[in-house]
Amino acid sequence: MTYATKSPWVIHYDASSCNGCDIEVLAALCPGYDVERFGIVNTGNPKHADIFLVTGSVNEQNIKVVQEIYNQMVEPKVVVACGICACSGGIFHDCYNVIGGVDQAIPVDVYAPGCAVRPEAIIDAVVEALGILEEKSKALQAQRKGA
Amino acid sequence: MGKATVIPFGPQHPVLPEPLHLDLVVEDETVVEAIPQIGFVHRGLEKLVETRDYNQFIYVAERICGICAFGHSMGYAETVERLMGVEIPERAECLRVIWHELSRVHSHILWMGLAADAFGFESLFMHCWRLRERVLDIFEKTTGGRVIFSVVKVGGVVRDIDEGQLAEIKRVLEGIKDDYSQIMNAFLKDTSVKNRTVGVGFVSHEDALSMSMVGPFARASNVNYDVRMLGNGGYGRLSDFKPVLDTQGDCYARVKVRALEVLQSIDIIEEMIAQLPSGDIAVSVKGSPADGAEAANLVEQPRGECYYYARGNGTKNLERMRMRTPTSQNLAGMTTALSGCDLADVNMIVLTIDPCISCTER
Amino acid sequence: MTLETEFVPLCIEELPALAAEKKAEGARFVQLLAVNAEEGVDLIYTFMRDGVLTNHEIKGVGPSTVVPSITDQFLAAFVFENEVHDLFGVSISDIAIDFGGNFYALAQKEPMTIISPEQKAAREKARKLAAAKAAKERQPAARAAQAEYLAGHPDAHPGKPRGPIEPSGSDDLDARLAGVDPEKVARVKAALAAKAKKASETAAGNAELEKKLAGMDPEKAAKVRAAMEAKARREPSATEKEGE
Repeated sequence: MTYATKSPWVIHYDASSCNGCDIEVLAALCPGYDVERFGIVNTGNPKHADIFLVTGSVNEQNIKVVQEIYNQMVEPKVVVACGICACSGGIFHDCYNVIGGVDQAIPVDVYAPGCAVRPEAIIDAVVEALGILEEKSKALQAQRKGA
Repeated sequence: MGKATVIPFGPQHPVLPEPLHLDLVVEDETVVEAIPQIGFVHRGLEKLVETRDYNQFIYVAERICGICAFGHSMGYAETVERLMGVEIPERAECLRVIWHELSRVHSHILWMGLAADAFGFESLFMHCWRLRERVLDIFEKTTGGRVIFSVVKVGGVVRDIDEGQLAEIKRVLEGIKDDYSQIMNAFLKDTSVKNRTVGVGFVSHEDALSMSMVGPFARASNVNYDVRMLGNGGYGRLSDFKPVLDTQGDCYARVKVRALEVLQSIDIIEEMIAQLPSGDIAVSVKGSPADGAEAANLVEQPRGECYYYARGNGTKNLERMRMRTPTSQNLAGMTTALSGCDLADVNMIVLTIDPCISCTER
Repeated sequence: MTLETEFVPLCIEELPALAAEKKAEGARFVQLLAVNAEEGVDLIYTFMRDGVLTNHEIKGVGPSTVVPSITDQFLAAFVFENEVHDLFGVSISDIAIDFGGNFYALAQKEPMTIISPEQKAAREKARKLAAAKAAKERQPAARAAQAEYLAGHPDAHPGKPRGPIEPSGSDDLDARLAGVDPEKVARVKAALAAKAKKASETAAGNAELEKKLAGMDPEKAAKVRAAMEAKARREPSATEKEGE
């Protein structure tokens, strides 16, 4: 395992969400489900983070913000779309101001559906994201060795 | 005289659960002015009444905000019932009150955890949320959902709470009271917490009135108003209800008002359980609202008074549904509370108005 | 016990005076909302005093009307006035904190005024229902009037009040046309002849259809007959409307 996968740091952003998924993301960090025992820490600085947890069906004003945070994160990085709104727009998919899911703004690696997404599903999604992070990290190293 | 700098705060910030942007005009670490910029959560869901009929729209109404989800579904259902002249059974009214007060307990404890995080007391944040999990367990046992329940419909409620579950709720609430008193002491009696909250973000009584503030934010400045006093719906069955008030008007007062409201809600739930009437839990509602009929309704959500308006057009789709949430009323008050504070206190003050931006912008 | 609410109409000119009056008597400003109605945008200002919620409604604000702001009395209204401006396109002057149209960054301009196909269909349906209801209400009155007429004119024809006039060459029509301009007479007679031809054609068409149905599968024939009956049922109401 790489260093990143032993203790991935998470950055969370609410991109036009109703807050349901956000409080479940925070609940996953709290003693009830406690992902901190896996070394997962919630940070506010994109440059410190490995995993980007996005919630919410993105609206017009938020596209730039989501892209900005994604661009500031350093490779290797993984994006987890939490909640059905982030996956596809959810119940708001036909609203006039919603672009319909985070993958319309940035590339997404793992989709965790649910309304609101359960903390167990978030943990599952993060574990899957760790696998992808590991692969990306190895690919980056191989690239550097090759170059 | 210092130099004026503009510091952008948000929309992404670890202390903010929701995106809110503030342009803080700062002179040497003192905030002179705060200009809010919202619009990051505007989904435009009020237009969805055109494509969802009045029974389906309740699922959209619930998802305006995940924290006040039950309040919105209850307020929407009450408004449409008023529009169509439907009387729901008494048991349904009381069940709605029980779930709504449990929702208030969970919301206030959630808020207290976030407030602790805002002034840097992370372990208190963890303790609050650990306690809150017990309330979410009650929700899961009675409705199936932790955050969004979908248990209200136009005409009543969908599920009943049987005697065994009611006894369980009482037992869990008694258990919560004991742990909760320790957390309350940490907030209200601890000196280092007091240093962070007393005298910070002061809003006077006159300002609170002139800016039409609502909710615990206003009650901390001695504004004597709470929708539950008006006795709408199941709240009319309460023997006595007095809003929790405080005269100090600063962050400490707001924490105190919310902390005491949790205890008040637990008392209300116990009273409701004791006098829960038997009977049906729903009536079937047929037909559509009349063309041109209008109805307005108020609900006391954890963050304050929420106003609902519905207008029918003769078909199964409503012509207009409008929810005015407490945070939109309180934005003017927030800008006043922020002027003259230290830059390091901005987190705390923004959080003490309990902003629910997704409610504000829908 | 339920909440007391009332809806009261208001004109734009009275708005500043109303805001000042409410402020003076200590009422609380609750909210401002807009509804995209058929004749324009309806604005509803809500105030609360002594537990009674009063909604003041201004109906039909057009795109060129400028509404005065009430933020001089109630600062909290700036949020709603900016929102109403951005979503409905209502111009409001002198808002205390004016975002100038950038309160929400929207994908569509003034989205709440865009009438979607669903809403259009709903309004059409409501209009049809209202018209049908009004017609139904007029029916007993119309029948009573007809009965009265028949009672007063014993030799008039009973049955359908109006229908295609058969140009049977009866004296009635010629007598009526006797005093009229001969060109007009010729035109009227030609129109009537055309109508009679069409009526006979449809009758002929019906006869042909009957022949076809006789030769068809009986189940299918029954279905076609039901459809024709439904069509025929719709037609009389159409001619009634025409006659009116």
